[in-house]
Amino acid sequence: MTLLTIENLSLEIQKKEILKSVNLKIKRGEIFGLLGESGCGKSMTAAAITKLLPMHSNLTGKIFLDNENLVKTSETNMGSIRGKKISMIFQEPMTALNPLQTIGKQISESLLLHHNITKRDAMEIVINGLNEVGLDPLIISPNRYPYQLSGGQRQRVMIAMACILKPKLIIADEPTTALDVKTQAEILCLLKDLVEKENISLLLITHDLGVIAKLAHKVAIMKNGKLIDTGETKTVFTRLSHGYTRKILSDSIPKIVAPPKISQNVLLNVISISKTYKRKFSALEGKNFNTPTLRNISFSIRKGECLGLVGESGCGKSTLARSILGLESLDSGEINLDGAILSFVDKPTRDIRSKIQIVFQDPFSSFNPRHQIHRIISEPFNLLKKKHNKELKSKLLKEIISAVELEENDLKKYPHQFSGGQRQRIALARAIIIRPKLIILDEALSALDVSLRNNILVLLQKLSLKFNLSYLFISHDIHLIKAITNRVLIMRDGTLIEIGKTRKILKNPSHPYTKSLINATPSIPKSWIKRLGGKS
Amino acid sequence: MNNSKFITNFTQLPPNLYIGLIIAGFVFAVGLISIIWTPHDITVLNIQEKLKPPGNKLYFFGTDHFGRDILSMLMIGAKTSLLVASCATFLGIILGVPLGLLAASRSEDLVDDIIMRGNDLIFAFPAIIIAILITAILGPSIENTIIAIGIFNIPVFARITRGAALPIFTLDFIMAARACGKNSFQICSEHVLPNIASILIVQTTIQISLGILAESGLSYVGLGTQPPMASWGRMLADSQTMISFAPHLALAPGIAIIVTVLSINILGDGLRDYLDPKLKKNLS
Repeated sequence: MTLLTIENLSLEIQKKEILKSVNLKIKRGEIFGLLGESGCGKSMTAAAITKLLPMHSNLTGKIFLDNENLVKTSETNMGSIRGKKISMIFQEPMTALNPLQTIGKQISESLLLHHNITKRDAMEIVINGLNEVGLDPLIISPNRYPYQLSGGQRQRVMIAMACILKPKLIIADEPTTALDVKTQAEILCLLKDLVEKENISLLLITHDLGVIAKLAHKVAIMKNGKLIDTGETKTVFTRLSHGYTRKILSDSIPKIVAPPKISQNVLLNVISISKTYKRKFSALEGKNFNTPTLRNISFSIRKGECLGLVGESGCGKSTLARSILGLESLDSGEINLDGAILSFVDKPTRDIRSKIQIVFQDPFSSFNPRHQIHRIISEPFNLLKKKHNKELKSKLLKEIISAVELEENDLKKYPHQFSGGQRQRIALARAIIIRPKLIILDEALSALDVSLRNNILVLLQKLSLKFNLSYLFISHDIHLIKAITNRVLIMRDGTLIEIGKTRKILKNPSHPYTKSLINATPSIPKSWIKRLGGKS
Repeated sequence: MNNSKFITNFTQLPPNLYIGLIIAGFVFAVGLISIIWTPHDITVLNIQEKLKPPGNKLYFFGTDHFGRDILSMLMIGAKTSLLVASCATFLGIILGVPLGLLAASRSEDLVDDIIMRGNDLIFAFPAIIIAILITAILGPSIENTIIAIGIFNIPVFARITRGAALPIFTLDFIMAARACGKNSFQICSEHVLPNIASILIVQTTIQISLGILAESGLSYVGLGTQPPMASWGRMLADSQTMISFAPHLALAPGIAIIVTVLSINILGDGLRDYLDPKLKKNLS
């Protein structure tokens, strides 16, 4: 039975076409995936269904929910539909919950709004709801505040909030993008169970084909506000009737770049380093509890190698990266670079520092928004002993900007004029302009659309050969690790639990944690990939 | 997206920026003119012309009980007020902003605590009472008024700088700059300050208008500007006993204070609208 029917839905915001005659049908109890790149109109489709549209928007067409046309419905009527019949789960559990209210109060809010019940009765329903999403109310009491919960728990609270009124349709907008793989697997499992148990329909908006493959019965692929392809998930990706579907599928499989020649010479040697953060003494909190962030970590990176580093959020990956950069003082241990000691008693010399640079995850906070690109890229010149003159500088700038496949006149622009992928290229340019030996890529591809990822992967490979670079590739994405790294480190709670050749470890992980990590990663069925390979 | 950082089309400027600029600019110009020219010399007493009502041919705003020209005194008062208020604000900025930046960059250790608790200590006392105490100890003069008011601007700027700088320090480009070997001073001046400048500029206008009020208050109790220099607060104090038969003596400086403070506040609002990137997006 059809629950939601969208016919000829078009949306204009300030005279700009966002959605172009979208048609789709969602049945009861069905998980419907909506797939597309960022900016293609996925989220606006969700906003149109709930009619939570920005100002000056013009919506035409029909949206039927149980034979009620939502496009024509008045705002007051919509208020009773939202939450009761349609509810939403957002991407960022950090900002979707009010930090000043207990989770119990936030979950019960819609109950009290839509039903005429007492607070005590509402709290009972809330406790049931928490139980259903796998939060034991005895451990996670409804009196807790969002900051007392982890990201995964917060997302569970969001789901409890969305399900509390037993809606007919849940719209989940990138519900697991901000979570790490293991939590993602748990949340996806939970969503699937809920849909089956309560016969709820789920509109799952995501850019991750792996998630769609795992969950969605049906899928619609969107590009520039148009639906390109719709149908059963499996048929869509095996018939590959549309060029764009094929492109999305092939983009989603990270291109395996050939491992470059690795010399036997060790570039970076990390010898049993440890680090414990000392918390600031606080008279109010009393005693300090210091948990070590890095415990006895040793590994090495050879010249020309790309070493992967995998671990959940909070396992100490970033602290390790900062330590190698020489920005963190260590408690014990030693880091050698190219034979020179990165000393941690004194600050490392500029000479050694100039051999290591970093590229960050978030392409939007990596640059000072008030500086032009040429100033951003030339910042590392500061590390050089010999100051370059103007001509040499501009020559190097031009060289580097073409090496990362951007144009010369981009040097005069500001960061906000670039897209995410272009910004990561700029970040790479900044990192390699003084010809370092080692570049730390801290989740550098995680924030990018799949279509851009492969380009950057290839670029990384090219640059590595051209400038003789080694990479420390930090990521939580097993597929990416597989595509680019030669060896991989698996890290958990500040310790290294596994180290070895990437292919070997991913094929037969010896540690149970590695196994669970690999199993948790949503992957695209092999049969789809085969079809793709067979045709092209 | 617009290429340039600033709105070039002047019609898009917020109207309160215009209004504030025009009125505050006028007061500033009057203060400047008073340095080289005033209609009458206010150090000369002319008892025969005393308490002339406004609208007089010679004395446009009338005269006070010593026969001094009110217009001339207002002009010199404008100069005094703006001079004291801006010097005191400047004092607050040059000491407060570096302190705030230092606190923000060392937010993990004791330096932050020492600076911020020191701030709290100054904040704990009512500003005007301590200013009275300081001028009472150091003796009343323009310089001491500036110091007394300026001391209270330091924690204001330190706190607002720290608050605005803390989120900037967590951004990746700060880490990138550190990876490039930049020291704290370079990071603050190149990366942090430009990104919090708009907040500081708006706070500057607020502090200037508060400074004008504080200066008037100090002069009113006789601890600010000393005669024969004129000041709006002093004029108010002098007019107190004669308010029943010569109300213009109190009205003139009172209105001057209101107009000046209001115009600077409007200017601050306008600047905030202009510099706030969120609002700017809507405009373009």
